[in-house]
Amino acid sequence: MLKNLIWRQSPRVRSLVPRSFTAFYASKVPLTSESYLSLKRNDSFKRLSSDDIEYFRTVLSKQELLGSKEEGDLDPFNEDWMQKYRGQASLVLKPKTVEKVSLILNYCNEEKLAVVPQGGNTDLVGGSVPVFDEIVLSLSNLNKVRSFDPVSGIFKCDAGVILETANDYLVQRDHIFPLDLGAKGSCQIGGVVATNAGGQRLLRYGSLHGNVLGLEVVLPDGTILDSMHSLRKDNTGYDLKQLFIGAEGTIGVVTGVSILTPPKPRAVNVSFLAVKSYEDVQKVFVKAKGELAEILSAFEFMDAKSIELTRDHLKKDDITFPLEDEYPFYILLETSGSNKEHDDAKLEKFLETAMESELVIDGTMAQDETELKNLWHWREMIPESAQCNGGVYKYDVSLPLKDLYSLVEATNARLESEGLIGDESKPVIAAVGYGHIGDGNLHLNLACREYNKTIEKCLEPFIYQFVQSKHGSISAEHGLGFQKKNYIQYTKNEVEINMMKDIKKHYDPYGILNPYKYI
Amino acid sequence: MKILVPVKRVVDAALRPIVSQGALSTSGLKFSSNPFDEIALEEALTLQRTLGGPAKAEVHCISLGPDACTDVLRNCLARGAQHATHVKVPEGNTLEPLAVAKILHGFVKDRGFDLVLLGKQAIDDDAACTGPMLAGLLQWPQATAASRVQWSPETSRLSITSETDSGEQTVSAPLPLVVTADLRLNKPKYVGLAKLMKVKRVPIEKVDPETTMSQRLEQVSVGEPPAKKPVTMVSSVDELVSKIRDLV
Repeated sequence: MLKNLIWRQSPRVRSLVPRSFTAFYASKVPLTSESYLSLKRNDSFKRLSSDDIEYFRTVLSKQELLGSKEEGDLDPFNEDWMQKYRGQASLVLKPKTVEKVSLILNYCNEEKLAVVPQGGNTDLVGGSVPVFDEIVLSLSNLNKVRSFDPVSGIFKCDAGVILETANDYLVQRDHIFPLDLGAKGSCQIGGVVATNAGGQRLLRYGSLHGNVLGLEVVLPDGTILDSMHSLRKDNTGYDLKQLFIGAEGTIGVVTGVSILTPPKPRAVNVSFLAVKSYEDVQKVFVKAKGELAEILSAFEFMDAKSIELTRDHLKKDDITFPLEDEYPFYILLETSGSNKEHDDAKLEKFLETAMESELVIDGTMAQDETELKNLWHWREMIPESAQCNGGVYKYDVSLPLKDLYSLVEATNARLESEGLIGDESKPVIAAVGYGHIGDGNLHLNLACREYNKTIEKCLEPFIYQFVQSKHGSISAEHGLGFQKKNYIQYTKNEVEINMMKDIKKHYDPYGILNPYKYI
Repeated sequence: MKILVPVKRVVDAALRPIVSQGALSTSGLKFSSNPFDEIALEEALTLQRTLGGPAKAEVHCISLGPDACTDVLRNCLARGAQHATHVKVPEGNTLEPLAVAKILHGFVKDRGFDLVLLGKQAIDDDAACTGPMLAGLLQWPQATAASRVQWSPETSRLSITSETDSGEQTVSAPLPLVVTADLRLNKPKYVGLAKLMKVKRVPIEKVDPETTMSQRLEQVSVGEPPAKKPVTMVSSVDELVSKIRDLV
């Protein structure tokens, strides 16, 4: 077969380019400590000494430790994907076993050395890179599939297994990972769980809080919490694993995951539709929920600006745009089911009536697997397209559906009135909106020519106040990390925040795990 | 002008066929049009526009195979073809390229075409014989692996460029003619929803094959490519150098 030559074969969908490719250049990312001068290093943390490194060398092999330029480039571990934050870690530990993770944390806890757990480093809120000189604990070397039960669909693996690798493994066994996101080629299962990532399959399969059946976690003092259960029902005591899902590595380091995986759908259809207003996006969604019901597996929306940025960015790849004209809003709709004839009939009926009532004004439907991947590509390449002209400010919020897009309009109006958006003389190129309508989750991205404090001041806390006024969440799926640490009160009340602080204090009394972030 | 575009239904190009017990298993796999044939159709439609639309040039698609071929043909109609014919071949019957060429030959003679535009090969068997054999049976000239096709109204000739190892080669011929399409000829467009809907209930002409031929080739075995060796990571340049030394 001439697979590799086929024209529409899109470049590998990997919106998060491994940073090692760029590591040949001297870093241009400013140090986080210099961008945020008011932030001080916590002096109760010990500074790394040669004795500490000596200790780690006795525990770890050569391949498990990066402590100098000769041993490897540390920039990829210090810088985040958005090139917005840069830490100053001088030591990266990459243990190959859970026992070694335990030894490392036990030592760090005793010595009060601060640690940042790191997976694929595809974080979008600065949560996975050091702020000052924290040691990076990379889970990349813990990368084995542990087991898969084809009867129950329960899959167990190490934290460092890459999402795409896990999904490929499962696909070969007629199952899929219940979560999919643009960063699949780089992000790791452990990181995905620790940040409670959402993604495009959430609409169908629900969140990780429901799918994860058990975890193996190393606590800050080195204790290994083994709760790698494979039970769907278990009402014995507090559901401890839930504490670590979305805790962003602040009270423990996830080292193993047990998760329920659904069977691979036999028939998948993807449509790319155009509508004339945000009103109509909602109407199509209601219609899809009603008529496609159990086979609806993704409902994503994109505004005209986000697609315009993507068209500019993809120009070099010469990928055909699915539609002949431009429209105010686009919808990517996916169905997954077990019977192609049944799904096709439902989808065709739905599309036919949507076109007749002029709800959908243009559209296309993938005719083969290559077109299917390319249609998804238009949605998945938006983050990279928003980032590639200098930088991006990302806001990932949950809002009631009726108010969802008004945030994009309000942000544009504000940037306009402050004179920050426009042609090359202005720092902001565009404020674009896209996201998971099915989950009430908006991604507001500000494609900018540079990162600067004026933009940041214009947006924060403006956006958070807006979200609060609509009773939304300031972080739908990206987490708090470094960026949103100080804004949690816009979504959570005092009692909730205090309880979180108590938990943190109880399990990590010295605060060595992922400091300066979260709460 | 009448243009015939034969389109083969094949296992989707983006999927990995499964080899089980020495044979290809296609159960559960999605089928689509052969990408080379899609390119041929796109070119036929472009040519049609150049010539002044369907009134001046008709595009007719034909597919040989089981009932599911009608899906492929409906797709062709949505893309812009005027006519479609399904030649019924029962599921499981494999047609060799000569049999296909003979059936197409009969069809061309019967209905009268000026140009047959088809993919240079199908991605499933990679035989790349149908076009040339058809040209032979019809005793027409042929231009294979076209990467550019141009119609000259002054001379009523088609000029066809194909890529060679060292550059390009352009030939020109009058009609009737057989042209086979290469990958770089064009990029097929997406099919609009409105057009897909329109052709949904259009009946597709069905005919029985005039020629049937017994299979002359027997498939002896099918195997998967050897598995790739796992990558080993080296920890230093010295180690890399010594490993390379061991190899040479």
